[in-house]
Amino acid sequence: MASTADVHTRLPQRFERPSALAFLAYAAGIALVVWSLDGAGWSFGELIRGIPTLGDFFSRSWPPSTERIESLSKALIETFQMAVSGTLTGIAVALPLSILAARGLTGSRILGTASRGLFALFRTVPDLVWALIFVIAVGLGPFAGTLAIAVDTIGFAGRFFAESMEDADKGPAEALRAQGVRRSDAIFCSIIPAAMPSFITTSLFALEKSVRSSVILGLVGAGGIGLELKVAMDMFDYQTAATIIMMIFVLVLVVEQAGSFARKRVIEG
Amino acid sequence: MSLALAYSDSPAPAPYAPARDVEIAARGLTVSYRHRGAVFSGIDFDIRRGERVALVGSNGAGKSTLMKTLLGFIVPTSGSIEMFGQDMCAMPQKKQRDVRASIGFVAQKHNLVPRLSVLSNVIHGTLGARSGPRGWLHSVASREIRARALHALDQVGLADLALRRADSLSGGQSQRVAIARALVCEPRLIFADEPVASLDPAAGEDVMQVFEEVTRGAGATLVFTTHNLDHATRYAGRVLGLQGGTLAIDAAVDALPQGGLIGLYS
Repeated sequence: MASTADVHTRLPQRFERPSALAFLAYAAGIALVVWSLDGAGWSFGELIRGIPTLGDFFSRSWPPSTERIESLSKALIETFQMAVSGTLTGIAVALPLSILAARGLTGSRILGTASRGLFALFRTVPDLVWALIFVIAVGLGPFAGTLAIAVDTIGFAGRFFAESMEDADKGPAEALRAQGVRRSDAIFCSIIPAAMPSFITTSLFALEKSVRSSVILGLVGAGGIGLELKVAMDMFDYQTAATIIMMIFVLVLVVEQAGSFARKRVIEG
Repeated sequence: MSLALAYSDSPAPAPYAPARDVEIAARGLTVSYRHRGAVFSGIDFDIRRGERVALVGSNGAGKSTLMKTLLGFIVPTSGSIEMFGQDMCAMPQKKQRDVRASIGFVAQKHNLVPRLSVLSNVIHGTLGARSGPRGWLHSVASREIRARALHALDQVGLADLALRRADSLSGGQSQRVAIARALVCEPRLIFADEPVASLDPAAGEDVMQVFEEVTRGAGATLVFTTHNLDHATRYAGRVLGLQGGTLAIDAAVDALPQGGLIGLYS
């Protein structure tokens, strides 16, 4: 048996010496970060110079105004309604498309590629751009926002739904297929129930995301409290703006906490 | 001494004659892959109605491949398979599905849908004969289907657990539910691919007894693969042994020589 002293001499190095290629990759990574900070105009001086202005904004915002609390509450409810209806519409469309998109499930390569392409398109174009497009199509108001949220949800949820079905245990479906069960029945009675916890948690994440998005969409005229925020800021009515920001904070917090609680229950089974 | 030699003194097998009670007839069955070569070649056998057949052989001998080939999931390189008198290799997929609807299948892992009830899992077994959403969940299934599923659970002694979630069952109970799922379609033939391999000896014995009782009661043919030679000789009437890509043994259990099956693993 080797002595302790002998073992000490044979200890491996804590860190391996990087290869030339790895060294170049690290250097390129650092250069990218520096280049981005420079291009983004990152400046501590500007940040420090902006602090008094920020203080002025906060002082002019206090105390928050409760003068228009009734109409603001209605706008907040409309924002929530946009988020819920848009998310549900998106999920309803994403589910059948994700069955087509999941690799190895339906056996149709063309439909699978088309569905995955659609998800990629819906995901890569930002929701604000979709809102601008739908404002042109259906006019100002919450419906444009609902459609924008629905499209964004299709891209987000569709991809995760498809991936969770790809990862689901295929054993039950294969056992059923050996008994003459159709592929579609096997998907609906074994793959989808197996992926259901993932569907529910993804849908709850989508709802949280939609609530945050629906606030922003109002800024381009797609309904909800975002429009009220824009008007308040444009009119330098910072006290009303502060009320709106606090209302948004409470809404997002409540939805996130409820979603987190529901997800925990789903995961625990 | 190789098994082929061990059996060289046995009388020559009777020529295969078409019989009315033949459920599976395999002729010159060969499956080979481009990179791996032949898994098995030139396999001939008949399995008659009501027979209990054990398919044995070492890992990689081709037992599961043979089962998948018989089910139509692997297209043989050459040879033919007649299932219930119909040529499996020549028929379209839809027709193959119709044939499979008369087959029960139990895999090594029970393959139940974990979050669904035991009853729903058993009802899934009826989907081969009757497709559609009413076979997906017990809460929407017809009264008749629910009754059939409960009867199948009764046969495996688990009717009391009908509404329990499948993932709350023990390994042995899960495998018995898988048997009920195979039974509910009133199969002519049951394939079981190493049904007790993942169970402890007591649970494995229990599952094999259930297999024997229910297949005997239903008059169904049973084909199971196993590494447990004791199970092969006690629960089957006949043994098919694969070795070196050929059917080295095809004999009734009473006709097996002492220690004959051990040679398959040498």
